[in-house]
Order: sequence, then structure tokens, then C-alpha cells
Amino acid sequence: MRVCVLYFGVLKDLVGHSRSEMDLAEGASVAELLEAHRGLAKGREPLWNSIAVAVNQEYARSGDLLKDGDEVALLPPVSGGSAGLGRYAD
Amino acid sequence: MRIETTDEVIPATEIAAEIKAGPDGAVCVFDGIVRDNSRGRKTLHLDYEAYREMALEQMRALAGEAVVKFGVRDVAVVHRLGRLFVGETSVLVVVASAHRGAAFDACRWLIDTLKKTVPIWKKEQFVDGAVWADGEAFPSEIRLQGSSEVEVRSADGSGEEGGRASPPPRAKALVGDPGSHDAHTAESMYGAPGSVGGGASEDASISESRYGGPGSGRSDGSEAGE
Repeated sequence: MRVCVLYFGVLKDLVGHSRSEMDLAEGASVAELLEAHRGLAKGREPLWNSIAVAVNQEYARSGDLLKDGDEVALLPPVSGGSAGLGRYAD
Repeated sequence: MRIETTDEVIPATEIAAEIKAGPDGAVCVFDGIVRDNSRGRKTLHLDYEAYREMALEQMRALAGEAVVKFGVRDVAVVHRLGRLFVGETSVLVVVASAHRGAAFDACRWLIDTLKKTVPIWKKEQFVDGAVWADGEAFPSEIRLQGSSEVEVRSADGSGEEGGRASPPPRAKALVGDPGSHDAHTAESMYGAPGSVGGGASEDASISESRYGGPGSGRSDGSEAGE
């Protein structure tokens, strides 16, 4: 089966593109998709351990199963809003 | 409820004015604007990007939840995307309510929760480089690592339908503690001892210090300026 993988923020810069198609075994889970990104994770464990995954625009769990045509987004910690982390603000 | 992402200037005054209605005794406005520095580095501009469809859906869900949770009458949440300069409004939260307490509480909860759960990111462009701002830590219900649910769910073998049948994890995270969590505490962001370092080494909104490291190619490339 084939899923569409989206990358955002720092992950997009690291992989060099914002989306890709990925072929996975039928019934693969979110965890297996992440395992296929082992190279991306290597050396960046703090970042990798802090990400979230959305499947078809809803936050997902590692064990969730994927199906053909799913849109899977890898999301680094979000930073919307105005200031960064407020404890540094005046 | 006015819930939007926009590439245009946010008409903050207009939004705050148009929300008012007869039953309201209070309108609370949070106007988040671009600051001219990030801990000593002079900010030129910020570039915001979003997972647009999901961000909008998350913002709608938060707004609806705020109305239920705090009993306020109406809510507006507008986030701007694209390039913003110092002093411009990046996010506007407006809450209208019969009483000020609920309006303040809902407004604070909305901006704090938005900053943790709505998929929007910003890249800070300084005179001497650009970095992705470190985000707020995802609530544990959203973040993949450190969840006790992981093994259980993958073992239950419930098939495709069961795979995503659990309620939205965010809902669990949001119920229960209005005002008790302070979004501005970053110390334990990534959990693992040593991953952040002590307070002395902090440059928490600078991605390069943690994600990059020597030789991490593309992220270093962005440092050269884009």
C-alpha cells in the first residue's frame, strides 16, 4: 500500500522536501512508518522523541494501523502564537 | 465563532468590536505580536507555516471546547501565516462572556493550548541566521514517545477500524485543569535528562542547539541565511 507522508517545520528542512509517497506493507502501523525513517531520527533523538504524528489530520498513536491512501504527517513540537517560550520574555 | 488562518493582516480591532453582543459583560483580547528580539538576537521577521487543514480543525475544536468548558458566549481565534514583521499580530484570541472571570480564563486557556497542540510552526530570521523555533512540548497524550498506550494498542490487533477508534487524545489532555498549567515552562520539554541541559545553557527557542549539531547538513545550511 502507498501512503503520503508530510513533513513540517524543522523536519521538512532535514528531509529536504515537504511530502513524499511511501510504500509500506499492508496493514503497517504508524510505528512501522516511523521505523522506516530511522535514518532521519539518527542523532536527533531529542527531536525525534518529541514529535507527534497525524493520520488524515488527526493525532495518531504508534499502534494505529495505516491504510492505502492515508495522509501521514510528521509534526515537530508546534510553535504557533507570538513569542517563543515565554519564560524568556520580558 | 470566527476561526481562521489567514495570510493577510489580522484586523484585530475589527474582530474585537464585532464580537460584542447584548448579553456580554466582558470581552477579553489576547493580541500576540512579533517581538523584536529573541534573547539578544535581533529578529528581522518570522515565517509561519501550518498544516493548514488540520490547524484550522484543531482551532475550531479548541474554540468549541472553550465555550463548553468555561461557559463563555463566543470566541474568535485567528492565526496569521507567512512572513510577519516586528509588531505585527500573529495570533488573536477574543472571548466574549457575561463575566470577566470566564473570559480571562478561556482566553488564557485558548492561547496556551493553541501553542501546544495546533500544528503551526515558525522560523525565526535573525540578522545572522535562521532557525526553527523550538516548540512547546506536545501533551503526553499527543506525543508518540513515552506513551504507555503504544504497546497495548499495537498488540490488540483490532484491525484498521480499531486502529483509530480511540477518542481524540487532545480531548483528554484539555479537560480538567483550566489555568493550572503554564504553557511557559519549557524545562521538561523533551523529558530525557540532559536533552535540554541546565538552565544555564538555555537557548530554548533555537533549534540548532539541539537538533542540529555538527554536520547535520541541511539544518546548518539554513544558518547561512535563506
